Amino acid sequence: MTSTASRLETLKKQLRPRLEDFRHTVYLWKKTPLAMIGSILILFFLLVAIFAPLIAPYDAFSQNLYNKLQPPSWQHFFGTDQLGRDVFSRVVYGARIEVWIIFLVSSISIAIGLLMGIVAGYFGRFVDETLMRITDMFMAFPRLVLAMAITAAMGPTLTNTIIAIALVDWTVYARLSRADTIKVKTQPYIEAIRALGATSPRIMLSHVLPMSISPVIVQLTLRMGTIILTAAGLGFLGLGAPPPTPEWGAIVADGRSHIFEQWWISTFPGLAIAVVVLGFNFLGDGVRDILDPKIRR
Amino acid sequence: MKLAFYILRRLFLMLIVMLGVATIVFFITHVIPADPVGAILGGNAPLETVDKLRHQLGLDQSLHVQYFRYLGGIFHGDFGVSIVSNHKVVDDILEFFPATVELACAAMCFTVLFGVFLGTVSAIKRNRPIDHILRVFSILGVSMPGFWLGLLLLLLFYFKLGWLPGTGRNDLFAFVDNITGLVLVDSIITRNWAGLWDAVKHIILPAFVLGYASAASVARIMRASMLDVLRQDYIRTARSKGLGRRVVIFRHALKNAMIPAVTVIGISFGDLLSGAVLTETIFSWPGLGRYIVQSLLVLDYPAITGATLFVAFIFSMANLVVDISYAALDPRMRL
Amino acid sequence: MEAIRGDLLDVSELRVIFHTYRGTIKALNGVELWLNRGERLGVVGESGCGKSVTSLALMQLIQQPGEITGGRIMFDGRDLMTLSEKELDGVRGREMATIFQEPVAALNPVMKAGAQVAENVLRAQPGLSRAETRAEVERMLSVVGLDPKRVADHYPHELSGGMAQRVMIAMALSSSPKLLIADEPSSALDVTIQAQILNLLNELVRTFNYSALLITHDMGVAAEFCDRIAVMYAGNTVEYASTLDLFAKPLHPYSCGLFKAIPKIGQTGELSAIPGEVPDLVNPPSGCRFHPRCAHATERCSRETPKLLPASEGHFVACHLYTRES
Repeated sequence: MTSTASRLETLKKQLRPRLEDFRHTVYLWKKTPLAMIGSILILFFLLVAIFAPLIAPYDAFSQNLYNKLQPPSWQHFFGTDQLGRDVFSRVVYGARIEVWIIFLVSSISIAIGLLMGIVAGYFGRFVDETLMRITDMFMAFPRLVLAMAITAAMGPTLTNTIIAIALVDWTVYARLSRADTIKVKTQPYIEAIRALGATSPRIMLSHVLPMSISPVIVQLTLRMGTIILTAAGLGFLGLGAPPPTPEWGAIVADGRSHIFEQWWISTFPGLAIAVVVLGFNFLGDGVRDILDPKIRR
Repeated sequence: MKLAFYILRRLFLMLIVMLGVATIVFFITHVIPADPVGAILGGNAPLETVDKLRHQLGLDQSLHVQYFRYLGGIFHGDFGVSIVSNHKVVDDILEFFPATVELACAAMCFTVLFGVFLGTVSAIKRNRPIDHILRVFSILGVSMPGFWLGLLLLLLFYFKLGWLPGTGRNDLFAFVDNITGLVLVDSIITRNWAGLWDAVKHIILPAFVLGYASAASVARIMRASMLDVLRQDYIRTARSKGLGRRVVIFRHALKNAMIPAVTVIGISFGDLLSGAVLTETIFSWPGLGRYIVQSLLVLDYPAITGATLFVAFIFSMANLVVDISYAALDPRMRL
Repeated sequence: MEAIRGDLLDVSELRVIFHTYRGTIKALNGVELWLNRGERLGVVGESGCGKSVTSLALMQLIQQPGEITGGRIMFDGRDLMTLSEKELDGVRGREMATIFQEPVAALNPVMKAGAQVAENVLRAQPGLSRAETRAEVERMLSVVGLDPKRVADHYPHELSGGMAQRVMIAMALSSSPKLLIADEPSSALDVTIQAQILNLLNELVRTFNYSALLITHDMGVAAEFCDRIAVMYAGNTVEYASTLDLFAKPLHPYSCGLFKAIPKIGQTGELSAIPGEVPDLVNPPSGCRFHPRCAHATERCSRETPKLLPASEGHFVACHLYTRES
């Protein structure tokens, strides 16, 4: 055999378990209707957000007081609200806001969480104790209550809502990444690298970080739904983005005073929330099942 | 003995955490807001009123002094005076708290009973139709926004069907003497059966809405945990002893499967407190949650401070109880 | 169906499969075993040959994704395959008791050791008072060599492997079972403890005259403990004989290979191993499952699965070398 052919052989031998693993994952994915349905729903959600201007027949803000409180019809799929705005368009544009919220909250909370967790796990002892106490302090509040308080104090804007939710959410990732960091830290190869002169930041960044990231990502998919629900809750209470922002929770609140006669204003945005959160939960469940070593048979 | 040490250690840690919590709340209510007085009074208030309020709230002193006065106040159980109601915040909290306790307990009953039971059934009848139905219910439970569900149920049961009364804790005509502040308990003590029935009708819907999401979480973890336990070696041993399926599940599997579920039940208590905020708002339930929301909307800072601290304290205590019961349930945890 | 060969236990044509993502694992391919009262049978084979699956199948404890697809398990005159779940519950623990491989994992982590033994005691003698149960539990624990005061109130994770296994033995013996099944009882333990446990089992079985089925991968252990040995390979019984006969003159090429592979003191040179690999049970070899590794394989071996037939008095083998072409 020529040397390239034999190199190919060794490469194939090395990759075979990984390939087998991947093929098994895909097999389980196809076999898990949950993950598939979840993926489809999320995809749908993302597409609606991206193509909002093309999908929405009207503007999210334009009022038409002659046309207020109309029931669902062909001109207005979800009816109109008390200011004559098309509820369907508002919900569609609201998808963009939700995507924005999810993206920013996730990024910020993971960043803070990983930082706190890895530093705590890596340096141990006093640093660890202090950082973990701080984590405990943030976890001592019920999520919504803390987020509400922060938003109220900072003033209700979309940015502040995002910051507030991120400040409440990071604790989970901190705990997870700390546990993983401790596991990685005790591995012999870390000592070896340190003996070769690697500095702590470098070790944390290039060795600990990649190992801690995957359970964090899994946890993130499981928590996406909660992020949306918290944001919607804040919006509903009036502590989210200020009107007339078409955030879904806020739209539900808009319709609250008319719930009995004009049920459509509150029902449809709430339905949108439920569907998207459902999609994330399906996906998260599916991902967790697929990665669970006990179920992977 | 080991358990006692564990509890002491946790209590001590909690003290430290509470101090930090108080600091965080201080930060939120005193440091972040640009001008609390301006926000409360609006832009056109006369200067004397502004100064008077500022002095009243103690905001004219340096931050350090404010902080220590604040901490001192907390130790004495004094959270200041509410700007809105003009009562001491402590009194307001104690007035509204029982309603939330009642609601949370009712919801918790629902959560534990339904969650544990349905999760177990789901695991035992794995992949059969009942399992799929229950799983759908569960996943819906954690996906639907509580406030939306509450609104829809009100629409259905109150407006369309008229089976249940609307918002509030009780009708004007069903008056129950106030002994413990818990209407359900008080009406039983005073044998006020009409009052009890009225209270039950009022609490059903909000308790369901509040408990549904938590019940769903518990059911999910119960199912996963039970499935995991049923795969274990010791279950095989129990079966090989000739113990019937039912005995094996109730005596051997359940206690083991409950362990992760207890954690979720504990966490869900926090969600109950959070959710109470929304549920109480929807159903105009006169509890602490609604109090917090109203205080936040008008920026009644003393009330916000007091209520937030109080809620955090209750929440931490609940978590502590959960951790302790975790240690009591699982002998491996008593480190 | 054939005549009954063992008056306590007779397993014939036992087949078990497992459904997995890779396909169906044909774990047991017609296993044959039998045992008379008072005898001790050893089931020997390498990992993956189906020994543990067989013991689970005996107790009808095969669960999804596995299922028993055929066979007859005659136990004390009754075919266990035909019994209802309730009747089986009556057999398990009372007439048939099992000791498993990983003792600490096999005990309920949230129940005290004494309480778990008490469960067995109460099944054997329902209606005992608390004090009587307690006394009986302590008696059983001392029988297996444990100090009841120290052990009964402890949790399984607080016990060593050896102690936990003794607890399991106490549990199994509480009901004076007709058949004691020991599935690799010492494999998961330290070497020194292994000997202790095996000696204990030996003592107890001898004293109380139990019938026993010992599953092990260690031929030496089987030799010491058992009257007769069944050798298993890839889901089949390939040889069945008394210990003396098997050691004196192993017939099946696989058994021969096993014996040759045991290094002897003073031996120099290479160790002899059986060539080839353990077969993939999703796509097992046709006919005799050993034929790809067998030096004596013929064309018939790849076509026809050999049956377990007597080669001489009391010595059975499943190999075409010993049967004439029909």
